[in-house]
This record gives sequence, C-alpha cells and structure tokens, in this order.
Amino acid sequence: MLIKIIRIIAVLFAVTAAASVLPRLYDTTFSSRGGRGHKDIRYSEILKDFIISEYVYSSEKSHTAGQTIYYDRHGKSYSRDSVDQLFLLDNVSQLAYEGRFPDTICGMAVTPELVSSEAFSQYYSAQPGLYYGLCELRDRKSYTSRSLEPRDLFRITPEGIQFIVCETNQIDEEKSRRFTTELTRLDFRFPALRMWTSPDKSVSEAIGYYVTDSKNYLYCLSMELSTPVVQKLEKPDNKNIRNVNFGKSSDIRALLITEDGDTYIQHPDLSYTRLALPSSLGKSGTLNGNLFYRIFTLPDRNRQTTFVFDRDFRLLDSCSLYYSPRPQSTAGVFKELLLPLRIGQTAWNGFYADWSPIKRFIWFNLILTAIALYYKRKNGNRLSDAFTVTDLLLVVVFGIYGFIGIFAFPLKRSQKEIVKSKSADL
Amino acid sequence: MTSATKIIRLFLVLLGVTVLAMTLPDLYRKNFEERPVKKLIYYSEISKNFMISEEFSDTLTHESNTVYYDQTGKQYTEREYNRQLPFLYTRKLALLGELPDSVNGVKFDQQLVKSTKRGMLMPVSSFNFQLNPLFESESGKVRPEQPDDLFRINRHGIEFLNPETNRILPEKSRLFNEALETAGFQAPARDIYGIPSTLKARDDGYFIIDNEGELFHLKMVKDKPYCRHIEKDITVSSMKCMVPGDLYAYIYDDRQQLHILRTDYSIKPLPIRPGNGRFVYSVNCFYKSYKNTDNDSIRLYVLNADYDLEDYHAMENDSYAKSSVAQIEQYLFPLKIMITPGYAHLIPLFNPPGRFIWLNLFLMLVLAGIKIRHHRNLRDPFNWLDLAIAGAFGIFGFIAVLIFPNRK
Amino acid sequence: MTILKHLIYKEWVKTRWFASIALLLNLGVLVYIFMSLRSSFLSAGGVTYLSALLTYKTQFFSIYRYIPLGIALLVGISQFAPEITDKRIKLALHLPLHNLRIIYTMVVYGFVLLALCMIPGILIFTGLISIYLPAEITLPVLQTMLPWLLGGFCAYFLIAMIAMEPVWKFRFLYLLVSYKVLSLFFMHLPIGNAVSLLPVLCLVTCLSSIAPVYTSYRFNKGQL
Repeated sequence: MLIKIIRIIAVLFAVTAAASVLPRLYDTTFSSRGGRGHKDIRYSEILKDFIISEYVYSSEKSHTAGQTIYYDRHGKSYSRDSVDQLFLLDNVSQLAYEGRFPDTICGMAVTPELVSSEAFSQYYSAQPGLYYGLCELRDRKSYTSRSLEPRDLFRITPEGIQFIVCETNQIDEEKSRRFTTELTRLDFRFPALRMWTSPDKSVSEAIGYYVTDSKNYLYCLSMELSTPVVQKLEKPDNKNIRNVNFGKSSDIRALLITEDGDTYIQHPDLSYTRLALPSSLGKSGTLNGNLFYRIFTLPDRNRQTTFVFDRDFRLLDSCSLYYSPRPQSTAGVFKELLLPLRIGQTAWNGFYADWSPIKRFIWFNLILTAIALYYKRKNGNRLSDAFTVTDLLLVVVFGIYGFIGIFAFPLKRSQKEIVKSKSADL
Repeated sequence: MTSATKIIRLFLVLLGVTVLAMTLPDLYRKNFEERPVKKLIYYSEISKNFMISEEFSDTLTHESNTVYYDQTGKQYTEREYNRQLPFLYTRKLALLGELPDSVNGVKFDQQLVKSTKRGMLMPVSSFNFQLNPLFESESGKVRPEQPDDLFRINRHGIEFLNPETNRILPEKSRLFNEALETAGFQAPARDIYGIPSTLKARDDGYFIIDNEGELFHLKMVKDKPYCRHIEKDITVSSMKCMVPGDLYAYIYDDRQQLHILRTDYSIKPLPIRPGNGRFVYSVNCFYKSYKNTDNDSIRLYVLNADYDLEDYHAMENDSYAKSSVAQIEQYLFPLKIMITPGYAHLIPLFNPPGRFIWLNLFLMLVLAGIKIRHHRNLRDPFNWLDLAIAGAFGIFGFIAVLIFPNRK
Repeated sequence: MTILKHLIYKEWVKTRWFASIALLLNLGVLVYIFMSLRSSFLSAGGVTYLSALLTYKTQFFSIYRYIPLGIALLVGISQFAPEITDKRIKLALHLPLHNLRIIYTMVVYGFVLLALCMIPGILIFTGLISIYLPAEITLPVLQTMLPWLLGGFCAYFLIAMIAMEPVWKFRFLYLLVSYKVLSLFFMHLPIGNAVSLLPVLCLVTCLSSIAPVYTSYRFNKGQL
C-alpha cells in the first residue's frame, strides 16, 4: 500500500519533469519562423507619442529576408527615414557625424555634448538580490591616498557593527567600537535587516550604504577619513522598504521600492516623489533617461508597459506592447492539442503552470486514456482498484505527461494479487 | 616479463614521467609561492621622467606601503606622483582639483583624455575563423553596419556567402575576384587580419596574406572592391589591427620584431628589442609607450609621434623565477611541462642540470637499493634503463618506475 | 574461430543494454545540439547568429564534451566489472587460446563497439550542421570535438588496463595517472586551438591501447 502511494508521488514527479522539458523540446524543434518578430517601443519627443518597431520576416521557404517596420499606437505606419527625424535625442552621434544636429529641440537650446551627457540607462528591481551580509565600506576620501583604500569588510550583527580585516580574518576592535557607538547614538537597533550600495564604485564611495535596522528604520552609513558618518533618513510615506536601487543620473539619488510595491524617487536633497506606476512587486524594470524624459518599462506575463515621465516625474503617457499569448502558427496549434500544460519558472513570477485551452487538448488526452485503459486491461488490472483509476485520471488530466509517468513507473503487482486476479477469472 | 611487455612498460613509465612533470611543479609552486614586490613604471608627459612605484607588503605585520620615485632616484609623495601622471589618475586629480590646464601646450580636456588608447600586444598564434564580414567602408553612418554576407578566400579565390541560405553569391564573388587578380593576389589566403566588429568608429577593411606571403589591403567602398598590394621587405608572422588612428596595424615579423603599418602604407620597424614579444601599450597624441615585462626586467620604451625612440628605461623585475622558492624548485625537478596559450602545445622547460643532478643521483642510488632488496637481476638491461630514467628524470622517473613495476 | 565467436557473443551479452543506452545517449545529445543550433539560427536570423558565433567563438556544442567519456565508462565498466568480481576472468582464460589473444579480443570488441556508438552519430551530426554552417566553422568545430572522442577511446583502454591489474594499490595509482592523462583530452580550449595537440593525443591513445598488455601479464604462463 505504502509502495503504491510512493509510486504515485514518483509518477507526479515524472509528470512535472515531462511538463517542464517537453514543451521546451517542442519549441526548439518546431521554432516558429516568419510572422512574429522582435518588437521595440520608443517615445518620440517630436511627435509626443510612441513609435513601435517590429522585425518581420517575409517568409518564403528558402529565402528569408527580414525588415523592420514602424507604426504608432493607432496603426499608422512610418518609413525608416521619417522615423529617423522623429528621434533626435537618440541619434546624436549619427546627426553630429553628418553635421545635421539642430541647435534647438522642442524650443530648448542643445548641443551634442549636452544631449549625450543627459542620456543614461539602468535596470532597477523590486526584488533584493543575492546578499551575504558582508560588505566593503569605502572611505569618501579614498581618492586622496592609497592608504585610505579599504582593507576590511563589515557586517552588522546583533552585537553591533564588526569590521573584519581581510588579511588576518580578525576583527578590528577599535574601528568596530567607534562605528557601533555612532550608530547607537542615532538609535540604531542591531542587527541590520539589509544593506544596499551602488555597484558604481564612485557612487558607493560618495553615498556609502543604505541600511535598515531591525525596527525597519532607514539609515545612511558612510565613512570620511576613517571617522563614521551616519545619518537617519526619512522613509517614503513612512513605508517599509523592500529594495533600494541607486540612480545613474544626477537628479536621482536612489529608487526605492516599498513593501506594498510602490516606487519612489529619492532626490539628492533626500526628499521623495512617488511615481504613478503599478505595483512593481516581484519585477525588474528598466529606466531610460534623456534630456526631457524619464522612461520606465515594466514587464508582465504577456506584455510590457512603458511609462513616460517628465523631468519633474509627472506621468505623461503610457503604452503596452502585447506579446501574443496564443500563437497562430500551425506548430503552435499542434502544441496546444498535444501538450496540456507547460511548467516553468521566471525570476519575477516564480513557478508557474500555463494551461492550454481545455477544449484543445482534451481529445488527445482521452485517446491516450483509452490506450492506457487497453493496456491496463491486458495486464489484468481491474477498474475496481483505486490505483488503476488514479492512473487513468492522471492521463485524463495531464495527457501525454501522465501517460509517460504511469508507464515509467509501472504498477507492479504482488504475487498475492496475481494469484487473486487469476482465481477471479476462473 | 617478455621483452615486448617490458618495452610497453617503458613507454608507460615515460607517460608517467610526463604526467608527473605536468603536475608536481605546479603543486609545488601553488603551495610555496610568495607574493612578489609589485613594481609599476609609467612615463610622465609633464616632466618627461619615468615614474616608478614599488609596493612592499610584509606578510607578518600585514602592513604594506608604496614608495614612488623616478629614474634619477628622486623620491615623491603619492600626491606628487599622481600629479605627474594626469592621463592615468584623471578622476583622482579631478576630485582633488589638481588637473593641469594644459599639457605641452595642448588644452587638457575630456577629449584629450579620451584620445589615450591602452591595450596589449602579443605574438601568440591562436585560431581565428577564416570567415569575416566585409563592411561598407564609406556608408555615411557614424558606425559601420552589419553586412548581409560573409567572405572567405580559399583556392577558388574570394567567395561571398549568404548565411541564411549557406550559398555562394556568384556575382559579388566574381567582382571581387577580378579586383584581387588585378592586384596580383595568389589564392588561397594564409591569414586574414581585421576587426570584424561593428563597434568601431571607421572601417579599415582587412589585411590579407596571400599564398606567396604578400600583403594586401581589401576594402569595400560604395559596394565596389578596393584591393591594393602593400610593399614590404619583412615576413609577417602576425598582425594586430588597430581602431582608427594613425596606424592600420602592428606587425610581428618572424623574429618577433614589432613593426607598424601606417595609413600611408609605409611599414616601419619600431626601435624596440623584441624580448618575449608581449607589450602593454599606452598611446596618445604626445607619446607612444610600450612596456615589456619578462623574468629579469621591466623595460619601457617611449616613442615620439613619428615612432622614433624618445626615451628608454629598464629596471630589475622581482618575479617568481628569481625568488628563492623557484631556485629550490630547480634543485627538485629536472623539468616542467606547460601547455601554451593560443594553439595548445606541450612545452618542456628544462632546469639547469647542475642543480637537479644531486637529487637525481641520490634517487638513483635509492632505486638501486630497492632493486637489490627485491633480488632483481642486475644483468638485465631493462633494470639499468630504469636506473637511467631515475637518473635523467629525477623524482618523476623514480616515482614512475615504482608505479609501473617490473613484474617477475 | 568458433571460440572467438562465442567469446564475442559473451561480451555482447554483457554489454548490449549499456551499449544501446550509449548509442541513444550519443545520438540524443548530438541531435539536441543540432536542434538547438537550428532554433537559435532561425530565431536570430542567419546573419546575426553567425556573426555572434564568429565574434565570441561560442561553443554551441560544448555539452557534448564528456559524452564520449560517459560512453567509455558505460561500455568499459559493463564489460570488465563482471570480470574482476571474483576474478571471473579466469573462466575465460581456461579457453584453449593464448591468454593475450583472449584479452585482446575483448579489448578490440570494446573498441569497435565504442566506435560504432560514437562515429555514426558524429557523421550524422556533421551532415546536419553543414546545412546551416559553412565549412570554415564546421571543420574547427570537429577539430575541437576530436580530442573528446579520442579521450573516450583512451578512457576505455585505461579502464581495461586498470581492470586487468590485480593489486588494488596499483589500481588506485593507475586511476590517478589516468585522471591526469584524460585531463589532457578534456581541457577547456577555445575553438580550433586543440588542433596542435592532436598528434600528442593520438600518441597517448595508441599507447593506452597497448597498456592492457602490461597489466595482464600475470595471466601469461598460466599464472593466475
């Protein structure tokens, strides 16, 4: 009895494995060629609207050529040349090379250097990344001398902050005491929950670390000429912080995501502006900036949404690009007939199970169930047996995965059962 | 054992010696190597001196300090040293507000700093695909665009390939073949050198060595072929093409001597002694400096804008090879086998015989003792061969002979 | 002659299931590599895919690296493990043939089986990738995979050698030596750089093929 239950668990594992692997094998073998292509979306400062570009294949059997087409939200199409004229901020290098860079854009006096220096691109995430709790604190004045280069790493334990000298693996007691005293003076409750710094070394040097203590208050920890510099910071709307990203442009000190998924910009003067964005929980997005705009892009299961803000972080416009969830190609249709679900994992959604529409796969499932039933009868399994029924149900629900599972782990019958069934036949 | 088996055994012993020669010296070094003193040398465009920094670290006290001096021996503080090298410490000097206004009469701004190029030159021969994209050289765009085909030069001449269909484009191939023949090109090509990436400011095409060893320059200009024979009196061993500047490429000849190929197609040997052929270069509009580090010394050559020797300094290098640990290694092991980078070869590096011969002789005697104790036949020539192997290959031979014993 | 046929049949019975798994494994991985290549090629477009491959020298076939070694282990261990348990090799050596001939019939059988498992797959693989890749890429790919194939053969011969060795102390030492020797075959080298090492690797493989003569010596002259 126990063995049979363990067998069912094994069959379910096989079903899960098959449901992860087979759809991918199918996609690799029958990649859809032609038709859909890569889509991209940009915001034109001239048009004050979005332009979508898509790479399409003009699919002929032996000769595939692809080209990029451009169109706006309302479906109006644009040629490559007219599109080039709508994106001046993006084309600085080419226009400057040709000597065609304008003196003003949208009424503002510009030079190529000004526009290039204002352009930046960064990722930001609501999910905190890999974290060891051991970090390097750079001195703000480390550029003045090599003797101020960091030689230790620090961690914040329930006892206080500890600096561990790399060469000796020992704690620098004096330095640790100085910093612990300063943190305690500002009501820091040890241990720290989490610490963040910028991946950019010079920004990390200038700002230091953002640290949340065990009561979820936010501090900024830094060091100048070996003395601790600690500052207690306001939290955005007094909410607890989930993740901190540091900014790449001069008007954004940091991007904070709070525990309810809201996104806040922290300005260099430490004030906050809440962004009119949907919940970012579990997601990472991109932030592209230029002279006029701050453009946020957030992914989702079937689509990607782009939000355009002005330099004061007021939302101007937004647009969603949909990735077709139900591909129309023959390969896609067959996939829905044969494979009932797909199990996978993404960074922002964790594990997911994507089911095909029932009316598509149920027919193949029933055929497989009939085959399984035939084999079961041939082997003498009775329908009165609960485990046989379970097997068949697994095939009805999970189709080919269930079929593979139940035959990968065949229902072994004990000697007693074989004798019993034979005597029942007689 | 039969003679045949004994011979096979000898080959196995030699295999064992090879394996040990690859493993043991490496293990020894990893265990006993000490951190060497780090020495850096740069040329100051401001004071025209060679600025040297030497870092000492004491593993006992875990202190480390750096001293700064120039080739005359005059000492500098860290700040003074940084000020002499504005191209190297740009960010630091900017934060301290100590950037110079101008260098040698030229305004010191962002553009001047960006014009400095640094990189490495190595004569290592490594595999390269003989299939490359031929860019449009004068497209009017700020960067070259990825073309729709790839070219190769085999015994049929130049062939353009459409990657989508894996077929040859006959028209374009014929057009370029004519240009190659007119220039005197002998197919197939031995080597093709260029920068097959779109991340460059300008496309200079490719430099190709034909079957006779002659050098040609191939470009596509407004969809038309451009092929030109370049006169030279050296044998080209390898080339490294440069991002656009005043040079097309560096050339290593068959004696590892460095030459430059300038944009006027002149080839000039650089006044630099080859050494091991590996150079770190730093070039800007004032000087071109080339640094070579080998086991004995660090040499820095400074050339002017015309690539003539302006200044030169050499100093002793503290490398592993000079440490006492490496000296002891020479007493222990007769050789070590290493695998070359690039095209993989197994290279034996022999230590001076006068050093390891003592251990070898000792091990030979030990082996003889072992053989006598096991009552081996001392008139058997194979036993003497064993002793010879231990004598020649020292500890490797000793261990290998014992791992593959003569079976009675 | 019939004795040899029976001997070969005995080897076949020992190894048939493992060799079938090996054959399927070999074909499966190679076909998967091709499918993956095809899928990437079609979705990125030929131009983009090839220029990325040429620039970054991506080894799209690198998952095949240890498959020849795995095949050698499957065939070698299934063939020789039964022989060394309880020294069952003695049974075969009672046959009226010279001992070395018996042993080498087994080794040659294994070598041929290995070749049959690996070579057809490689030939099919070469034909398949040539649909999408020009010769300038296909040849260096094969040159890079060749040391792994040689490593598989060498590993098989070394397994035979180690199996024939009676003393466990020496078996362990030969295992260490084999590990180091095989590491020459499976180095992580960039595409095409292994071609200069091939002569040495062929030499080592040939040497390892006669190594079982040395360790099986004790069976000569009726000593068991």
